[in-house]
Amino acid sequence: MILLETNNRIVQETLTLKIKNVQDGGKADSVDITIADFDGVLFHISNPDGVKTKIMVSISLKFYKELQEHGADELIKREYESILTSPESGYNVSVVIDLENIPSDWPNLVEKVSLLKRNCFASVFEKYFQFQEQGQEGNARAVIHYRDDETMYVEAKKDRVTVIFSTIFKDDDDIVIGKVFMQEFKEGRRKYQQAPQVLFSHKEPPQELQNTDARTGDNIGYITFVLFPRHTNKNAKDNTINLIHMLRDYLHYHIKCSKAYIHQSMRAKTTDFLKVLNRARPEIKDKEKKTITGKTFRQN
Amino acid sequence: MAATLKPYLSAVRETLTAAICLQNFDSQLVERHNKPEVEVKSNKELLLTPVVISRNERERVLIEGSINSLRISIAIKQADEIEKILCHKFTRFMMMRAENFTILRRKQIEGYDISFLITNFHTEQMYKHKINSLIRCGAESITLCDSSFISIKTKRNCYRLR
Amino acid sequence: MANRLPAVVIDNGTGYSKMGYAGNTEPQFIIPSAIAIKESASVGDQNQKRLGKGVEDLDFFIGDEAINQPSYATKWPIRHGIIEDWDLMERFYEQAIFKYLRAEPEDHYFLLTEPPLNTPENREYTAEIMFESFNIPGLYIAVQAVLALAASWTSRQKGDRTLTGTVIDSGDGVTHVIPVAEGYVIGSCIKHIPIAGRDITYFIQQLLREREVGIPPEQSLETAKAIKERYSYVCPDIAKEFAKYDTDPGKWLKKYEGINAVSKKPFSVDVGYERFLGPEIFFHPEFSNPDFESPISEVVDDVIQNCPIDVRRGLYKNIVLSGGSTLFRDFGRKIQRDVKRVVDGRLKASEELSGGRIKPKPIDVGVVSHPMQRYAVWFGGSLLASTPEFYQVCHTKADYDEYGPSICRHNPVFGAMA
Repeated sequence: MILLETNNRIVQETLTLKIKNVQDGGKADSVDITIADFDGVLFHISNPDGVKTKIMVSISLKFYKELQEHGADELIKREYESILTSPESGYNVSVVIDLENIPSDWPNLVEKVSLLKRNCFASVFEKYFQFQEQGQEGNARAVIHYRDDETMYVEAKKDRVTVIFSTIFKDDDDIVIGKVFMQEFKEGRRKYQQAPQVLFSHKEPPQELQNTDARTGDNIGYITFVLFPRHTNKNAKDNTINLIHMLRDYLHYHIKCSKAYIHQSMRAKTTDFLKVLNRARPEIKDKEKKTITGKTFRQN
Repeated sequence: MAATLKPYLSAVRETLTAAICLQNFDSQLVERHNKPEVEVKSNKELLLTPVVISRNERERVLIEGSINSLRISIAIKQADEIEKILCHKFTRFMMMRAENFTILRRKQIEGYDISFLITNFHTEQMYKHKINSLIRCGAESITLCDSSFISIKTKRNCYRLR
Repeated sequence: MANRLPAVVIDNGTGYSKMGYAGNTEPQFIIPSAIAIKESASVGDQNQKRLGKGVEDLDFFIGDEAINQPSYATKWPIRHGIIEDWDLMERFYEQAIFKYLRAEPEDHYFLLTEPPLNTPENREYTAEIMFESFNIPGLYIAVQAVLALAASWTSRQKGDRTLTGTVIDSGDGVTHVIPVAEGYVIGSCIKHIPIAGRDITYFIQQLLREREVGIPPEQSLETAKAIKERYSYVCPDIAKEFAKYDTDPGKWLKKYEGINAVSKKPFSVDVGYERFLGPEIFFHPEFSNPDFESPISEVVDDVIQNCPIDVRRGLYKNIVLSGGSTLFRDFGRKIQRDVKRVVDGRLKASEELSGGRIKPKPIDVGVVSHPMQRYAVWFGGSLLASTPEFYQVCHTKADYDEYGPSICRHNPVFGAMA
C-alpha cells in the first residue's frame, strides 16, 4: 500500500453491512459507534432519536470553523444535499440515511458518506483553485490549524497555488527520515515532468509564513507545494485534493514504514551476528544427533 | 575505500589475536571475587596499554587489554545525519539484546558506538579466532549495512501528483 | 482531557485480529491475522530475503485480502497466541493502523493484548515496535483472560466487579481454562483442552456424512459450521434428549437449506441429534478425541483445586465464558451444574470423614454468561481503555524514552473499582 485511501473504511463497511442487512430482509438493528480518523477527526454513527431505521453519520473536525470561512458549508450542501440534516450536538456535519428508502445506487451514496472528511477539507482547496483561475490575488491566503499543533497554509497567485504544511516531528530522527523522503519527492519531479514543485525545509520557515499565525518553531518541517494550473484545472482538481489533503498523514505513514523497515533490517543483521557468535562456540561432540528420518546416533 | 579497509582490518585482527591471551585471575582486593580487571581497574600492573587503531578520524577501534579481560570499542563512520541515526538505532537495538550476545557490553565506552567485553571465561568457552572474526566482521559490516541501507532508502519514491 | 481521541484496542488472536476504538461495544474490524507478502525465490537467509528493494516492503496485504492472493505467500505471524514473526507483525500493524483504523498513531493511546504466559521479552519487542516505529503516546499490554473478566462486568452490579475468577476461553483451535486472582493470572494452574470450535464442526460433519447424502462434499465443512452456529445447543442429559427426539421428531428436527455452490441447486439437510451432540463433546471428549477424556467441568474443578486455597472460593464463584465456542445455549448452565455437583460431593465426603463434626460452608458456583462473549477480550479492552484510569496506568512515550522498553514488562492491574 503506497497511497493511503481517501475514504473511511469503517464508515463504508458499517453502512454497507447495515444496508445489505436490510435489503436481505433483516431487521434494522441499533448502531452506536464512535470512531476516529486522521487529523483528529471523529465520526459518530448512530440512530437519530433511537429510530432504528435511520442511520446518522456525524463528523467532528476541530478546525471546522476555519473551513466554514472558506465555504465548507456550501460544498457540503452541494455534495450531500439530499441527506444532510442539522448537525448533532458536538459534531459539525451530520447526514442521515433512511434504511426504509434506500436508493438503487446506494454504493455510491455510501462511498460519498465515507468521503465526508475529504469533502470538508476540499472547500479550502476549491476556493483557492478558483481564485487562481480567476487570477485574483491579495486576499487570497488562508491558514488552517488542522491539528492542535500543525497548520496548513494556502495561497493563490495568478499562475499558481502554494500550499505549505507545517508539520511537527515528535522524534528527532523523524526529521531526518522525513528529509530523505522529501529529497525523493524532488527527485521524483525530475522523472515526472508534470509533478508539482516540492520544497522541504526545517528550522527555516518559508518566507510566505511570515506575518501569519502558521505554526513555526523547532522540530517542525515545512513542506511547500507549488501547484500549477495543470493540477488545479477542473479535471485534475479532485485528484489533487484527494492527494494533497492526505499529504501529512501520507508523509508520517511513510516515515513509520521506513522505521519499520529499519527495524526489519536490524533484526536480520542481528540474527546474522548471533550466528557468527554461535559459530565461535565449539560444538559439543558427545551429543545425540537426529537424522531427518528420526533416528538418533552419536558422533565420536 | 577498499585500499585502506584491508590494512585497517588486518591490523585490528592482529592486535586482537595478541590481546585475546587471557587467563583466570582472582581479584586482588576482595577474596573469592573474580572481576574483569579492565573494568574495575583495581591495579595498574594488571592493565595493558590501550591501543587505538584508526583508519581515519571517524573510524577507529580501541582495544584495552588486561590480565583477564579485554575491552574492544568500535567507532563507526557516520557521514551524514541519516547514518548517524541508523548507527545509533542499530547499536541500541543490539545492546538491547546484549543478553544473547554474551560478549557485548550493555553500554558503550564514551566516544565510541559499540563496545565488547571479553573475559577469560568467554575464551574458555569459545574459539578465539572465531571471536576475533566476529568483531572484525562487526566493524566491517555495520558500515556496509548502513551504506546498503542508504541505497535502498533512496529508491523510496512513489508519490506523484499528476 | 475531555476531547481526547479514543484509544485504539487491538486484540491479536491466532486466527483473527479484533481491532477498533475504545468505547464501542463491538470491534470495528475482525480480520484474519494473516499477511500476504511477495517472497523472492532467491536462496539465502529468510530475513535477508525479505529485505526487498525500493518500495517492495509496502507491497503486501493483510486480513481477508491476504487470503487468496495469487503470487503472494500468505503467512500467519501469530502461533498459539504468541507473536512469532516480528517483521511481519510490524507490517501487519502498519496496515491495521493506517488502512483499516485510519488512526494517526501519534494521537491515540493503544491497548494491546497478550496470551497468558507471554514472555516479558515479547512485551519489550511489542513496545519497541509501538513506541519507536509508530511513536504512539502510550501503551498498555493487557492479559486476555483479565480482559475477559472485565467484559463480564456488564452483566452484574457495580459493587460486584472483581478481577478474580476462572476464565474458560474457547476459540476455534484450543480451549483454555485460566484462573485469575485479583488481576493476576495463576500461570502454573492453566490447563488446555484440545477440544474447541473446529472439533465440534468436524464432529458434526462426520455425523452428517454418515447420514445425509445431499450435501456436496466440498461444502460439507461449511454446512456443518453453519448448522453448528445456527442450531446447536447444550442439553442437560443426553439419554433424555434422545428420547425427546424420538417421541416427537417434528418438534425438534430442523431443516437446513443450502445452495450448491457449483450447480446453484438448493439442497436440504435434516438436522437431528447433531444439534445437541456437537457441543456435547465438551462434556464427553472421548466422542471426538480418544486421547482425552476429562470433561470440561472436571478440568475447571481441577484447575481451581490446584490454585492457592485462599482464592478458590472466588474462582468457583466467578466462572466467566469467553470466545465463540462458548456461545451455545445453556453451555454455562451445564458447566455450573456439573461443577457444583463435584464440589458438593467433595464437601459431603469431607463432612462424612469428620464424622459429622465439621459442617463445611457450602461453596457458591457461578457461571457468568453475557452478551459480549464472542468478543469478550476485545470488549473488555474497550471497556477498560475508555476509563480515565487507563491513561494513568499506560506506559507513556516519555517513560519509554527515559527507561527503555523494560518498563513494559509489567503492566499494573487496574479497573477493580469498588
